[in-house]
Amino acid sequence: METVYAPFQTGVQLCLLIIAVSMVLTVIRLVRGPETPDRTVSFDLLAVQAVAAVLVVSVLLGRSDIYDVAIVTAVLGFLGTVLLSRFLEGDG
Amino acid sequence: MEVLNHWEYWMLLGFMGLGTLLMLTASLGVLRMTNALARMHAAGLGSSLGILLLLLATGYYFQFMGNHEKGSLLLMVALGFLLLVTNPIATTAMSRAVMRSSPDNDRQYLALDEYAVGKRLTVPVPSEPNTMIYVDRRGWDSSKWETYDRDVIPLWVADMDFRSPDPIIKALQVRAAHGIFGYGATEEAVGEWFCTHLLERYDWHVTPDQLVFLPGLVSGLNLVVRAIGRPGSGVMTHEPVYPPFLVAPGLQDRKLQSVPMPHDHNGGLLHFRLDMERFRAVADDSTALFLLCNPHNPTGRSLARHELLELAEFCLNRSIVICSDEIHCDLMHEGRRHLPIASLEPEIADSTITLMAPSKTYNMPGLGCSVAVVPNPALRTLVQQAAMGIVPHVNVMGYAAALAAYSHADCRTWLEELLRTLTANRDYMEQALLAAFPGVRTTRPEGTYLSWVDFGAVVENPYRFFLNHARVALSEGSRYHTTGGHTWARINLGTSQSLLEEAVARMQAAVAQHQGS
Repeated sequence: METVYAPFQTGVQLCLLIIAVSMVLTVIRLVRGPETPDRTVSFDLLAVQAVAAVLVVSVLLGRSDIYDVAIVTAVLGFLGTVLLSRFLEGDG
Repeated sequence: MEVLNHWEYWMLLGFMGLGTLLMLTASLGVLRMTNALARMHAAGLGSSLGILLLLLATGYYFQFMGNHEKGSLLLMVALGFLLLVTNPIATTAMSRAVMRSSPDNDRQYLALDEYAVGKRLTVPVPSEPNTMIYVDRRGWDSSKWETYDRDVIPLWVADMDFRSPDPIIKALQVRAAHGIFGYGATEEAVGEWFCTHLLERYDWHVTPDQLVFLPGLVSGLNLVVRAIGRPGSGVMTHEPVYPPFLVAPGLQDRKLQSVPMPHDHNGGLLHFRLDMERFRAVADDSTALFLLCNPHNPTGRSLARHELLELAEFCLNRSIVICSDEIHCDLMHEGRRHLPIASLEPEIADSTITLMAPSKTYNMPGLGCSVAVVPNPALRTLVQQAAMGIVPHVNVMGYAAALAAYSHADCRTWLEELLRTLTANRDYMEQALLAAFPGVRTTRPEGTYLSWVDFGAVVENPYRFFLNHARVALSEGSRYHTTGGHTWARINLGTSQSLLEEAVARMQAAVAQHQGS
């Protein structure tokens, strides 16, 4: 394992931290709602942010094989959002 | 084995940093925006751009770090493709869902900037409305709310901020869903229900053939002035009065004969009455028409039987036709019963044109549906002839709403509730004004949701002063008089009590500052 430029490593860690903070903020909206559409929007954002977190972690660990995780997360997030939206439409 | 240069590291870091910051803005947007559509916009844009930048950075990183497996670049492209395709699809699906399931005030989304964050809204949105449903009308097509700046509390033009009763809203929805808006026929059912209403509420027998439907009360007033007498004829009225009364005679080439209403006061409370002596003195051979406003706008007086009889006797003796504006007739406080002047004696009905409408009662003046009750066929023909070719028919939506207003029992229940609210507002305003402004005098309206106030002891021109210094818009007193009247103002009480409280607080602060300086 070759050494990675140290400031880069720190910077990437900082990125992970920012994404973590963002996810916390999104979760606040997810909990607060107040309506189902608001929760759907924040859920969708949360799924994309999870993919982003996986990407950053892959750089941090130097392992590209965890992309599978990202793809599964993205697909599940997408399906979830579309299903929820369809449900809401039927409801309205 | 390729290793990245330092500048490449910094470039990658820049991309990743920007990507993550975009994620953060997306989250902030979702948290801070005030409705689901705005939140979705922030989330969609921020996360798409952010994930794109992160993908570019990681792809570049693994390509040149050399430790990637064969498949990872392919996976990377697949992931990028997946995200860039799925994100817009997900956003589209969500926006459809949001639009369909949002509360019925869809139009607030058209004015997003007004609603963002809440900092720009300086007029408070009442959180605890009265028993009536207060509706925030900003951003809608309201004359009352759009005429002045956004921070002004509008207590001027006489409509209310309460939602109309459900049967009316439902009737309009059903009529709109029909999808045809062709020429309407005068609906007989509206006339029949209106006559039933007059009989039940005022014990006044009127038949549908005696009604003339008109698209508005002011046009009705002008029409009557034009129909009765000839150019140069005298048109008598009392002042202060709703401004079109003073304007209509001039517009129709008639001579205005306006007589001031004297007032007594008991403490700070004013009581206006008719001055029969002056009427007799001012009337001459040319006087053809008397414009009566009862319940009276702006003083809120509801004339008693003896006053009406005396006035009618005066008019009948001189063959003066009476035009009685009774648009506020259903809005009486404390169970008081309105007396239509034409209902008192058949002879009076014979020379009277009564103007009424569901518009004030059910807060639907924007629908333009009024009615003139003209029992005398000759007078009715005169009115219809004057209207011919100039005054349009009532529009189909106005009829639909009026029919619902007079035929549904729920509307009557709603009206009882409204009257309780208005009486509470009236009492609040009276006490607040007398406590806040020593020397100020106000009416205690028997009908209407209007207070008529003399601010002379405090400021010279209350309309201009409160508009400029308190950001509260009242109706200008001088417009209700032929001369003078600057110290007076009319206050519209048809809104939530918390808004009235805010208005009084602002007015009090402005006066305190004015007197301090």
